[in-house]
Amino acid sequence: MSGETTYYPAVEQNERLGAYSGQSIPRVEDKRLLKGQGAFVDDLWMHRQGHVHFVRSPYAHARIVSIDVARAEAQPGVYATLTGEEVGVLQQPYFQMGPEPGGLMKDYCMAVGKARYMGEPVAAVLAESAELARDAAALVEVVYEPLGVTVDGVATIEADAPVLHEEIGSNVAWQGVYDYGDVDWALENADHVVRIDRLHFHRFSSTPLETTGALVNWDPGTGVVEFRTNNQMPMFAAMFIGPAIGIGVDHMQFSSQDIGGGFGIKITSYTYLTALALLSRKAGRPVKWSESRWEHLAASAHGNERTFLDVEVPVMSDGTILGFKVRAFDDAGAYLRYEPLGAVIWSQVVPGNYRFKHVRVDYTETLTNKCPVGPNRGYSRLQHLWLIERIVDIVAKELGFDPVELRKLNYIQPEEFPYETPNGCIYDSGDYPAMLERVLELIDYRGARERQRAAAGTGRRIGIGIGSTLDSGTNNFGQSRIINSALPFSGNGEAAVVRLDLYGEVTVTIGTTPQGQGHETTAAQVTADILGMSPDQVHVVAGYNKAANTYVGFSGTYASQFAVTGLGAVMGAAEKLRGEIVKVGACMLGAEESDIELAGGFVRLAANPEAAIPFIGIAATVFANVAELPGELADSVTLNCRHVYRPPFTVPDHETKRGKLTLTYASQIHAAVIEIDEETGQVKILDYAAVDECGRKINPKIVEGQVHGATGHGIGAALYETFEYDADGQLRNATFMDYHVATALDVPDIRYDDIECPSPFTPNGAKGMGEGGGAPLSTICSAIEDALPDGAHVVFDTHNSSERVYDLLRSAAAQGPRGVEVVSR
Amino acid sequence: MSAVSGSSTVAAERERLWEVLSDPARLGAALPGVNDVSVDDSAHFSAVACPATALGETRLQMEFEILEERRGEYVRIAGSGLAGENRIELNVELSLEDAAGGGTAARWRGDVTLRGVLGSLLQRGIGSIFNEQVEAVLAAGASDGS
Repeated sequence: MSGETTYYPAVEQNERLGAYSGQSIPRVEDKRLLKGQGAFVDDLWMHRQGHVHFVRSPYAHARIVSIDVARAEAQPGVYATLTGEEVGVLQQPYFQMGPEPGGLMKDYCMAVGKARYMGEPVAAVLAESAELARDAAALVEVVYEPLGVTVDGVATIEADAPVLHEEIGSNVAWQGVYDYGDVDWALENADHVVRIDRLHFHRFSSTPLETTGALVNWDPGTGVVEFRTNNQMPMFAAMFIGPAIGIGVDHMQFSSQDIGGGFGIKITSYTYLTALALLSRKAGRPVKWSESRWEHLAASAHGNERTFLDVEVPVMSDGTILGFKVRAFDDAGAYLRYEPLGAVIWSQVVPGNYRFKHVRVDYTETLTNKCPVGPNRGYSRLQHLWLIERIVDIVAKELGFDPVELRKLNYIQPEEFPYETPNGCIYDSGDYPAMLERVLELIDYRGARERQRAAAGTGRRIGIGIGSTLDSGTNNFGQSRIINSALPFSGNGEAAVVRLDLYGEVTVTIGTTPQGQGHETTAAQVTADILGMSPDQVHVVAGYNKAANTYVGFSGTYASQFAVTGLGAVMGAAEKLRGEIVKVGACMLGAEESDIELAGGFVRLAANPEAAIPFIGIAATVFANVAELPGELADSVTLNCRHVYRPPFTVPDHETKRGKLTLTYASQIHAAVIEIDEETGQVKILDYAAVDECGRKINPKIVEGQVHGATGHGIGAALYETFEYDADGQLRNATFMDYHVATALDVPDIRYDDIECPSPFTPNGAKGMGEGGGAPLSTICSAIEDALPDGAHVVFDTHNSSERVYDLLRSAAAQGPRGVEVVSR
Repeated sequence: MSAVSGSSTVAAERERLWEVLSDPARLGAALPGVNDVSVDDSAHFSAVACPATALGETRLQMEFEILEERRGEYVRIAGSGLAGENRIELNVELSLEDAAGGGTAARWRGDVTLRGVLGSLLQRGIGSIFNEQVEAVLAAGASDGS
């Protein structure tokens, strides 16, 4: 099948997929994981290893006057210490992805000169046990000179705010205007303009079962630094670590087997890896560090917090929303560890699921005395998509439209795909109206409306909410040039090797770092289809190992791309191997290649299946009996086939901020029925449904599991999870006592369904997925808004604790500003 | 920063209670978990305390300064200290007056700031820990003075 379009070169979809791809076969990984036989960082051990404890700043902003490690080093069993002062000598500041002013930032693996957020490492102690290292760390004497603190992501740009990085000169790291269509024309010609004062996407994170960790050894003999780590994008980490401490990528060896969740926030652990490498070199021994839960919550990475000001939405009298205009302030925290990429990544989904033509976003990335942000499920797009859903619901309420009908009217329609957005992105496929219909069926929308009416006056208010999101997958890293034209990044890729071993075994190695997504299973499924065998005959090597030569610059697991890039690489390598097997088999059978088929682990004549050679026969000949083969053939086959999958991207335009930023667009539409207790503001979810669309599914059960996980995360963020900093920059809730992660008691049974709109742009019709955690944020807000009495303030925050909902309920009676205004012509 | 406050009536005369409160050595002995008090001068003293919390024992090295004092009536104290990598600052005032039914009525209020991991762990519980400490001192004072 050819998927030729006007937007990308023709993509040949692999016709061999089908026997196993698309089946919910049990996950290969689960056998060892459920039996406690996984190998996570803390399970690893090296001879002579020491354990690390980081001394962290109790101040959110303070000059470091002195650090005295003498008492710690005097403790028996303490091997070495490392201070920020030493780091300032041993490390060059990390490369910055952004241009000036943020690009001037000097960022190190530990605080050098001053600490800029509570929990920032200022020193490290290496000892023979983790307990001893922790006790000795308490003996490190640090003298601080406290400085003024700034924690508000908008107010931090004011002239009187304390400046975090003197070399930048202010707390503005990046600023730019994205202007698509003609929003001024739209505002002048619309029948209504809806103005929303302020919307706020709160700060939360992910809480993987396994926190960040690493076992690092700087081999003094070879100079090779071995990183056994759960970093989820190792080659990206290498780009930062190598230049910073003067080692080449050839001298960095990364590996991992099992990783207990990542969700993006393990991408920026390169700072810790740097510190561990320096400590290992200094001590001359392997060093191991496992982050505590407190450290993870306070000082790993947080999701981006974003404030939207002065939203203006032009709307026609029939309900057509023309677009919107907004000022966005993204609070990056104290350092730009992955930023300012978020300042462009949101623009993968400029109009969300809608046909908005005119959009202007004035985007400012700011710095505050808070934990640095990093990619977190749905990175940067989640915030923008939530803004759009808030806009749609608020417009519906203020102008008296039915929120369902308003969505249907404004959604991109199925016949419009592939759809070009105002900034030149191409949405590959989808059917949002059908998904909406299905999700409303699942929650019995009409019945829910009747329950809502019946609840009036009972002290319990029923609300029905809808959330539509996109999950853009397979990044074009060229989008980074929109924020910094000098960056040498573009496109994307992933590598895999599929080989036939001596005894006929098929082995697959992949460049990704699976964290629970079932890569071993799905890679086996597509390989089995292509080589004509069963998935249980395919050995997919667990985890990541740089030594396997299956990596490219952006290898890793992030940004919803494995089904496209990872499996694209596996499929390409499997096809190459298939070609070699067929070639050798044809020679051995004295047939033409076109006469050959692969089935059941045999090479055979299609017309005479009895004439067959098992794969072991092919492998044994190539590896051990090669003189039997003609020289030309022997020289051209290795049975060890590497393939790099490369999506068909071009470089986006820096000036116009236009381009194809992402290859695939999965989508999720959720709906919920909630009940609010008027006395307490407590929200109870009565019913919840999710409909997913991610192209052709390789393993539907894995997809469903990812949808459940993402939905639980989103519900947790909407109602329970929020990082609360006080004015002093102290994080008040960095333990599970106070940072409540949604559990099975909080997440309702989720009614799930899916539709399938294969992507014409990928070789397997799949789209990346798994980041639909944004939908619950929009859905819960939408339901709360629906439940509020007339005259109440608009739901302005992603996080709605009982206290906030209580205040919203009371705001109707207060008759104060509602945070929204409508101007009609 | 956490605001703490409380009040209590103890069965002891105000003067006798004041004697305990104004004597760092007796005060230290009365504070649960305090194992070392040293007096620098009439306005400064230090203590090492290991109050028991639900999280286990936390060792605090504290320095105190008496900022204001009216004998038998009022005292305002500032304290700062270290607990491992953490920092603690407090500013507390205590008022005593004769209770209507006999004994002494004590009222206290103050601010406690915890910085670092201890802050994340104890911000919510510091008020009750602090009040327990004050009440233990008053109880000891009542016992000592009765």
